[in-house]
Amino acid sequence: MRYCILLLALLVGSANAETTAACEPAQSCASEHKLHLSWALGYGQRSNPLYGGDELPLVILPDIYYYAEHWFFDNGKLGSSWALNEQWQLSLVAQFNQEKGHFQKWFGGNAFQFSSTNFSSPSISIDRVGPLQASVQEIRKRPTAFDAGLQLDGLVGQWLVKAVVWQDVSNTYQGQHASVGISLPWQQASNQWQLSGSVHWKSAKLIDTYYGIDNNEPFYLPRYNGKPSWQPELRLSWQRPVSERVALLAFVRYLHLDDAMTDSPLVRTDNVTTWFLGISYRMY
Amino acid sequence: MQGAWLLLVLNGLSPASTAPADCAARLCWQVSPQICVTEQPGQLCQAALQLNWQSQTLISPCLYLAEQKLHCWQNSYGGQWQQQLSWQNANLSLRSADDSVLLQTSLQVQSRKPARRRLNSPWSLF
Repeated sequence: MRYCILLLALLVGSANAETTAACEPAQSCASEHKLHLSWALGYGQRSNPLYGGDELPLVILPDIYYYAEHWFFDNGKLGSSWALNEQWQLSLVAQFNQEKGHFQKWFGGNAFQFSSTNFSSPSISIDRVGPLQASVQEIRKRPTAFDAGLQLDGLVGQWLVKAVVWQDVSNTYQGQHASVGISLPWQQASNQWQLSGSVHWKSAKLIDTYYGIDNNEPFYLPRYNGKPSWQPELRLSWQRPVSERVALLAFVRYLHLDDAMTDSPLVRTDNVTTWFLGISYRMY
Repeated sequence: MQGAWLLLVLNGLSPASTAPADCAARLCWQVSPQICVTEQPGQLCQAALQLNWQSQTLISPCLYLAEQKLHCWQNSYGGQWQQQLSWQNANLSLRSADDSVLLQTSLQVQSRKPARRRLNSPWSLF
């Protein structure tokens, strides 16, 4: 709770995100005091690394953001920024932890997806996936956590640099996670590309809360104590404007899961792959 | 403040707009403003554009904003012109009757609050 109070105090404070440098390229920029809402219709999937977890079909995706002078909301991330200089800005940020998305289909952004499967619902008869394995149907419901953190964004030449450190402020998993990454946006004729690489670190408490199996779980499941996890990620996105409001878009993302994840009896694969191809329409 | 489209208009003092009173060249002019500052990026500058020109010979020039003809003079050594206009970054030129450019300068529109960088990835809910 003390983290929440600190966060609120800072968010309503006198933070100022005044920027002085021009922003390029346009696809990664936003105008202040203007709500942006786009919908993309197409098809894609996000794989699920868990035993018993279904792939998430991606059919309709939203892209929503609003940047005011002192605060912003961008695709689920709420924040307040300070411009350190023309190239660097520091932000206090908050958002729901995304880890639950593997366990609960109707969570966060997943709620926009179509599926008749609810793999978090209780099941009367459960098929065991293996002696050293555990499926999401066999374990207790994983908690919803809310994180707050500090994010540093910079521009070094043509490269966008980002570093962010998160702390659980909902007293749920009582741990931290962090990431550092770089992105290179470029334009080729009408095609807007962005290649991103990042590394995520997740604390033992986070991994243990979501992927650990302790004595509160059914007795027949193998036990696992979470360890700190390092997860590298690559993402390539493409966008081609067709008109002022319509664009074609595609992206592919590969997240690698290390031993701290794959040693868990819940985890079936060593990666999470996401891809989407569709057409977007900007409403605002 | 959101609707305040124009905060500041700066008088241009570039070499292309040397004041006619101080001008030793055969043809010179003064244009104001050459730099206009708007509240938000992408907004048009709306202001009274003024110009004075002076020539050592009789000429019949026309004034153009980009390719739009604004005004013409006939057999004059100088002239003045003022009009309320809206513009974005564009060239202002004084052209002779045969359309050759006699003088030109760029009118710049800058925003006080340029577009800022997004702090989350597009389509990043997934």
